[in-house]
Amino acid sequence: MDNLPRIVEVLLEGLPETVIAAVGGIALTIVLSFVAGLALLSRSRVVRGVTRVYVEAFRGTSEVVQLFWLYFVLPILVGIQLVPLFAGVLVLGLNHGAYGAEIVRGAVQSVPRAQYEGAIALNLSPAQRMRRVILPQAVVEMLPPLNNLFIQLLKSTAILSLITVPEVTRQGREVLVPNFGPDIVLIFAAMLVIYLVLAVLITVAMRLAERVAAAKVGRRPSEEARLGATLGAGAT
Amino acid sequence: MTQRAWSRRDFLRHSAVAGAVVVGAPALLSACTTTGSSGSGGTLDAAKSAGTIKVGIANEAPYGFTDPSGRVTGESVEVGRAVLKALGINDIQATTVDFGGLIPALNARQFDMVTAGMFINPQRCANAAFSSPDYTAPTAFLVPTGNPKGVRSFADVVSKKLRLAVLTGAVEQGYAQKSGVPDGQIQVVDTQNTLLQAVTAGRVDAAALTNISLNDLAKKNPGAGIEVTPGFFPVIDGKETIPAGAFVFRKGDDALVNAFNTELKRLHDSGEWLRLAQPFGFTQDNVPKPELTTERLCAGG
Amino acid sequence: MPLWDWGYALEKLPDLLRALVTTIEITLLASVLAVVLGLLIAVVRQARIPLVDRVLWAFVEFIRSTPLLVQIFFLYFVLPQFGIALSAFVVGVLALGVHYATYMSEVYRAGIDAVPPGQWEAATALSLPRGRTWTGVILPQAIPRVLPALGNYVISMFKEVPLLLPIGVIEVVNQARELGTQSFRFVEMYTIAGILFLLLSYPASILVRRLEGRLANI
Repeated sequence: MDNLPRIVEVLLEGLPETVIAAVGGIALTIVLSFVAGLALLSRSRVVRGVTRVYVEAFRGTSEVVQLFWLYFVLPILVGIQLVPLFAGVLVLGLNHGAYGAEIVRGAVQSVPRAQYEGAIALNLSPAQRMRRVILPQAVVEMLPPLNNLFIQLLKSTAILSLITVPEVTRQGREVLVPNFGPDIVLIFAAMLVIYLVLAVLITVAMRLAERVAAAKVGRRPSEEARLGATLGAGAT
Repeated sequence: MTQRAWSRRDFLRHSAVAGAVVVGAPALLSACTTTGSSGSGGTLDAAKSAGTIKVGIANEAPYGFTDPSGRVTGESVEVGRAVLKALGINDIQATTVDFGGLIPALNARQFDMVTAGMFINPQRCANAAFSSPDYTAPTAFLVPTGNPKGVRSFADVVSKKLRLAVLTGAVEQGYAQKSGVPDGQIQVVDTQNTLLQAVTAGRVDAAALTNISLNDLAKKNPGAGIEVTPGFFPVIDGKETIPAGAFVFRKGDDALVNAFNTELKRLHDSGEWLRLAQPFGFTQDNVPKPELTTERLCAGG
Repeated sequence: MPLWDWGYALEKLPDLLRALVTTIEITLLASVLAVVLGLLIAVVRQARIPLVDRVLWAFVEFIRSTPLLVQIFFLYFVLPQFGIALSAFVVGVLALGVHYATYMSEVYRAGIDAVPPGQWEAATALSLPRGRTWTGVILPQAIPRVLPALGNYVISMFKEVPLLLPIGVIEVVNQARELGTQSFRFVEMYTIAGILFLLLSYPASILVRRLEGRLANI
């Protein structure tokens, strides 16, 4: 028990990497989710097809395989070695962006047809229609499942320990376990608590975002969205 | 109110570009290092001018590991530090990779040399360049106290049908296989500590590694209920295999390898090597015999 | 060195396929555990026994919010401290099974909650015993609706089996890594591993989507 302060200190040394990976991954996920999600609704067959390939490829293969491939195989193919943390952020973003694309697509499609027709009737350009009418309503619907997706992403940052990123899990395994063997229960328990705290922080932030988005639109996420958040958390 | 309509394609293109620029450009610039070759003098000169060099370790005590205070140390690391200092490189940055991933990471330019006490063998020589031999160490087994199954050699493992743990990418796996241990009895683990855990938890009957590593493991874990069997040199294909550990560089980094070898020899001759290596459990017995050369070991001798 | 060596790739394919079988075995065993345990948790939570419900809620939230990888290490390294030394395979099945049981319990709860309260009342009016209410009235209505979600979780689980790599389970990615380490050729190994995953999970997800379409009409 008296090693606990040192254990927590060493684990927290990995916190910057975990946070950078999570934040970077979430940022990339958001960008890709919107781009791919909207691309899936495109009128062009080619755009839809290419996006579909991206979404199915990244949803259909294991994240570990994607990580190893990007980190070990890509350098051999194109001659560029990615810094481990960046490779991690890239994989996190690409992988979760594929799932996010489906969430965005579903949310945009759930906006009632009447809204589209109303926007056309009011002579709004397609960009204005998307930006001021459809997306604000879609965002309210997509926040609960995105909350789950982001927590999933946070949990996936632990996988980065497999490609030598010095984040929390790696600190525990590489530095603490060999040197504080007898305290192994404490080490892993402390690790789990750190991740739990981070997950709670994400949920708090998302709940806040939900409230802001709902206030702008004047309603809360529908029951389907809440249900979808639970059911769709795994794959969909 | 009307303007040129933004089709969805326009919207996508613009947002894609904006997103890519915002996220990608600064990140890309800081994130890549090229794997293209930079000439044989390149690595040494670059390290000298930067005053620092990147090394790879496998967190294997006592060759290259992180101690409780967070400092990277070990026989390979300290000897490496001394040699590099003599070359004008005063600082090292260490990256920990699992043992089997050291050479691939070296070749992918994650670091410029390996200071993990890696043994020289023909397969590794085909993929990297070794320095002159730095030390030799016999193989030993990690067993529960009292050696209940009476393990002394690989032949025992075969005849008594025991489960054996080995480190990924390490030579002991090859020794075991060549001695006739069936694959089903070999458990490959990825860190030195997992090796210890496998024995203490009873998942395997013994673990094989160099006796220096295992002695260090036993010393660091006094209450774990384990002991190390006497060291031996395995007889493979009728020949006694005396392995030697060395420092590893990329093929083609000749300037660096030659400069390193010169200083390493000086360290060995002056007795400084023994002084550096002793705290980690090395003795005069671990000094490689003169006839053990890199060329011979790479050829399989 | 050529970028892709077909001879090498085909030579090692049987080893990778054998490891794939291990991966599938783990997925199936862990799925059974998750499906059964998840249902149990959901049913017990439905009873709303004060203390038990709180404990189960905390347990479910804790497991769902923390990385599966760390949970795997926890079981693998910590259990021996209490005298239970399980093989890596069993630890893997347990860790995956319990982790996904928590997800599935939430899914079951959503399904159970979607059953109209009138059903519960009618069962009470007909004096049906608790067990019969569950097996005859509630579950037959709750489960079909959530089958696609359960199916998706099984597919997810399949893709998370490689997390057992650090504890030494010889599943596909670990085998690819071992073979690559010995021969210093990783391109073929990891690419084939990725393709194997895609070959199994993509058709499976199509099937689940089709199931979803069928059930939407219920």
